[in-house]
Amino acid sequence: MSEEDNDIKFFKLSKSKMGVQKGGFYKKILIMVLIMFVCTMVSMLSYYIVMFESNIVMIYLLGILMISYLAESYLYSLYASVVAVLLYNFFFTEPFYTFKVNDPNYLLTFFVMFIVGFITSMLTIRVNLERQLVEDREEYISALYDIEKKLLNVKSREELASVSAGEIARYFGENVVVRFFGSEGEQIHSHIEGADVFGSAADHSACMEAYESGNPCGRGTPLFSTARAYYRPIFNQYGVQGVIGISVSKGNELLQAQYSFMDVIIPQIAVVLQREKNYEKQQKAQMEIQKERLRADMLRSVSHDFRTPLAGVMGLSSTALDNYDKMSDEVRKKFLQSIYEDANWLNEMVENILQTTRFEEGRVNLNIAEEAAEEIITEAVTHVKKHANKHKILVKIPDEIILIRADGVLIRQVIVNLLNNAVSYSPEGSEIIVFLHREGDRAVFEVKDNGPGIANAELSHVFERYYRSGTSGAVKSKGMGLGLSLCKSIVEAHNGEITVRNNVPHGTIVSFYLLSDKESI
Amino acid sequence: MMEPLILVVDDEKSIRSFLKVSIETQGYKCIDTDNGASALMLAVSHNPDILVLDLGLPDMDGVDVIKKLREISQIPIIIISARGHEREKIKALDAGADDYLTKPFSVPELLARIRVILRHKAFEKFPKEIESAVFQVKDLVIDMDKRRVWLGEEEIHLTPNEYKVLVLLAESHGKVLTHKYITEHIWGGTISDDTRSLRVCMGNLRRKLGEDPSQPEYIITEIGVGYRLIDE
Repeated sequence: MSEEDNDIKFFKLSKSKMGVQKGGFYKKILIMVLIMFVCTMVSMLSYYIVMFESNIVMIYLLGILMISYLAESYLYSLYASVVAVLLYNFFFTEPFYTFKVNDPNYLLTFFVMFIVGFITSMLTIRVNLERQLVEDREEYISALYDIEKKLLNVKSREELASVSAGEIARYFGENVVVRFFGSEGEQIHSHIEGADVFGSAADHSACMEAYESGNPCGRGTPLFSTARAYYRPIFNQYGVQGVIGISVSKGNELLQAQYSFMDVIIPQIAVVLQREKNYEKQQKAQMEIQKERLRADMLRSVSHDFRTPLAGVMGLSSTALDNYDKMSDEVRKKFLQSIYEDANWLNEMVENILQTTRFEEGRVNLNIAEEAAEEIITEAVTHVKKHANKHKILVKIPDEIILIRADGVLIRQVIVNLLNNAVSYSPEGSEIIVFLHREGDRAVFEVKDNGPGIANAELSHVFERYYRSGTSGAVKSKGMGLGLSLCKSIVEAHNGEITVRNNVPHGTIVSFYLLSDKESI
Repeated sequence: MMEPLILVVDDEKSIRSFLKVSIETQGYKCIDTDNGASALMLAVSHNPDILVLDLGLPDMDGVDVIKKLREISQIPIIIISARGHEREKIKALDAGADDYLTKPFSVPELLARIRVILRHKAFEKFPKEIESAVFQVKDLVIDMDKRRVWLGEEEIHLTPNEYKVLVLLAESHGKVLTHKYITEHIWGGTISDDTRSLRVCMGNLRRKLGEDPSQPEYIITEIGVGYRLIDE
């Protein structure tokens, strides 16, 4: 079989063809000997029974045809034709059992027999080969189609890398690496199918050279030919997007057909890659829009939250200014007290907004230190008590001193927020309990109130930013959507968890835990 | 005796004005300025009794003002700063400030701090012997000669370290002592384990003093900064 045919079949190398090609020599000789032997036997039989010579030539021609069909080689059909003529001469022309010929007529018979045998067998082989070529093309095209279909179905860049590497590796029987690069030339994804033989310095340089120059590099090319693999850039109209590396384990370079295979498949990969990149870009833009919307929501929520106490401060102070002389001392004092409370509320809100933005921008440095949990609680409670003197705030701590590793100021902020919420959402004069206890290696903090509680449907939403409980009509409109979401951010930044549940018979329990050393005391 | 003079340094006019009014209603004299450079000048020329200093000044870092001032004078300094700047507060306290308040603060609180400092100052003017060896605040009595502590009628038994911490706080009662200051005085070193020992020591001390965790009577915790023994 010719070199070219061999090439087209590159993707079948791992299957059975190669074995036939290599071990074929003895097998073909054997086939030839066998068929010629059978032909000779049949001829002898017919010769001695019916003495009809022309049949013998036909039998040998049939033998030549069978050999060429089975051996699929012009060389063997030539051998077969020669052998057939010689056998015919040896056994069936006088003088028998010699290669001499008495009748010169036979010379023409030999010649015609040889020519007919050789030409028919050549035609047989050609037909056979053409059929196989068609079959191989079909297989090649269906393989490409198969890969294209798989490429089109990928959902991410990572998947694209693994699918293309996997498919090429499967058809080539080689190790394959696929690398994608970002706009700044940084590698954004890499996938290796098979063994990692791409680690050497030459390989690395070849890969980078392929990326930078846009030309194939590595084994089988003039550049970095000492590399163990061949590197080809993946590019589209925006430039080089990645590099595919294929190890060259047989010979010094890949087969021609493998190159042409890549010519077809690599642009497909580039197209899909671009599609994925566009998708990611779109996704990013979508997220920006989301973030922008969130920011707008926050501004709206914040300005609403600010307006209520500000309206109080402005209204009370302007009324007091306008009617100063007509007001009794007692009323004045009440006004001032209200102004103070509203301003205090504003202050708490500003504190939360500041912390929230710090968390959102990701520039919170936790100032972690060994803190006593009870000290933080006490600080928070004394702070809230200053302006919440109409509620009874109780603190229950264990005898054991629970130490936590935490940012004390932030945890204090969490408890202050929870207490402020409890104060806002429970009636005046009711009890709020701050409860600290240990559960294994956890320091558990709980803030319980016996206000109206939170509807079950809303429980899961309370930690969402800008969410404000709508059930409690009795309380002031001093909702602070930021408060609880900030608490969640802070607790989670400490690897803790915050949950909310309903108190029995009514009210809310917000509980969170932080890790604490078991052997702290 | 002349009425005490208080220098207020803050770049915000409204804060300066209400501080001035509140300070003057207490019978103290008050001068004020809005920047660090003139604060240093006024401190030297007028020699005030107390400096109330905002850490966020337009022209220089408040901590630098403290350091510069400490080179030439021992005027007591009360710092005012925003919450969340605990490191700054500790830096200021370690640089030689005497006390701090977190913005926004209540005026009565500031006046209380001023009174504490004036009282401490008055003690210093007289020879040490006059200072009683018995310290008392509310029901807490510390007899420094006999090294015994009572809460009302009942004697409290403290470990040597607990006693040392309590005495240290009592000596500067009303003023905040940083964690670093306390650990250095009690344990001597600055091993990180001392923070833990200090926390445990304070926890035990609070329990022995029968403190209500929702309303401590004697020892006030300043998260991230230190501890303070109440004064009045």
